[in-house]
Amino acid sequence: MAQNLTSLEHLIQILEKFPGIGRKTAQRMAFYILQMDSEGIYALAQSIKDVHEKIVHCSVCCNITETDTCPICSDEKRKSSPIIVVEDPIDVMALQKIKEMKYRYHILHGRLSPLDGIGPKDIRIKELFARITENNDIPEIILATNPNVEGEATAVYLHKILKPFEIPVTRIARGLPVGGDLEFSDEITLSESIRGRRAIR
Amino acid sequence: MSRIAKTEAISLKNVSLSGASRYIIALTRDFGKVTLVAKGIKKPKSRFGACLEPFVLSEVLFYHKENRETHYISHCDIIESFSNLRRDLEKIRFAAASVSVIDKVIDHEEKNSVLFDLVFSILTELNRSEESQLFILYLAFLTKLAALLGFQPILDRCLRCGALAEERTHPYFSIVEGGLICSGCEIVASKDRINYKRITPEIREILYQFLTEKFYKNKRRILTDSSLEQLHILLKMYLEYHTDKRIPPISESYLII
Ligand SMILES: [Zn+2]
Ligand SMILES: [Zn+2]
Repeated sequence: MAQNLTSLEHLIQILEKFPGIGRKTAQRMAFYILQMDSEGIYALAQSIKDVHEKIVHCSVCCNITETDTCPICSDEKRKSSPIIVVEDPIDVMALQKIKEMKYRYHILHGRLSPLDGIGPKDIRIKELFARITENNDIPEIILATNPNVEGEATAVYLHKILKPFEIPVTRIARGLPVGGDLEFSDEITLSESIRGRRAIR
Repeated sequence: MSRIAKTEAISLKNVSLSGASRYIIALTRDFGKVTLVAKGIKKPKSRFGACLEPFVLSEVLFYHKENRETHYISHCDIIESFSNLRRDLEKIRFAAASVSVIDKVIDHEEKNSVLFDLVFSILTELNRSEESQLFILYLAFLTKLAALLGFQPILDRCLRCGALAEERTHPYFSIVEGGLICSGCEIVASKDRINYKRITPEIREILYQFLTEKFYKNKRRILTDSSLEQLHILLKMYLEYHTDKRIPPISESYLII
């Protein structure tokens, strides 16, 4: 920037770091913030400060929450229900769409990634281990990491290390999406759907 | 100007973008390393399905724009899925290490179909080989890669006096000059520990095999773990010196807790 606008430039640089935000969009956002009134600015700043200060990780499931333990873990109706293991808090939001049955969750906050050098110590596997060791009300563990290379590696690994607990460990079904069509499916998806076939109930 | 291009591609890496899209860093047969954008790929009903997962060989159609760093993919089909590379944690490590090296040392959009074949071969070998062979296959891949990039080491004679490997022992390897130093000339080498590395006859022999034989022959030879590790360090230093890029480490084994 030609003029002496260090503070504006600083704001643009911060906004630019957001996922999917390029330089141009960051500039537009910064200029929008610049013309906001004081009330709006304080509300924005306060809400950013709030998420930073109020949101913690649940000591049981590692999900983001404002109360420890989180509402899902303290829900009596979910006691003794299966635990679904997911990569990120946003996956829990997606899974909460399921209304027919109540589950509990464990959030790994990441996935094993040999491509990025992310190993078991870098995600919340230790916490899952501790939870299973300390509780004997877990009927099943459902691995719901994403069905891609990294999510798959994470599931294979978890399956291996959870074996000694003798709790059923299952993997979410992979294959054709509901409403999809065989004709347009690729080889990997088709092979997964045949391997993961089940009897009609 | 944009035209639709069709080529074989091996996905090296995926980078998540906002929304449901991803960048795919891929090595292609006809355009070298390219960055492709797959819109909506994270949606379960995406038409890309699993075609652009790392290590998968696909035929891709994309809009090739000159002077642009990224290109939009319009369609792709799997040619070879290398399914074992996704199911076996040890295989994933070495497949990831191999494609990461390519991602690091290869510049964008420089066509090199021999390199493409090399990457295809290493993935094929890792996919079908036993666990005990994976490390040595990876080392053979690094050696072949060095040769392909123009740094083929000289392994049959001394760089100084030309004494042949059969005539004399060659206890040193020069990282800078890329070749052997014989026992007669080793006085030079012993003074410069950074350039000259000690090398055993066993390691010299295996390097020679890597350069002259195909992957499937290399597989038969077994080195001790410490020789493998020495060779790994040597190859890493050698490639890093000549490419001026850092060779990514092989990720830790997940099987040791
Ligand atoms: Zn919780
Ligand atoms: Zn000599």
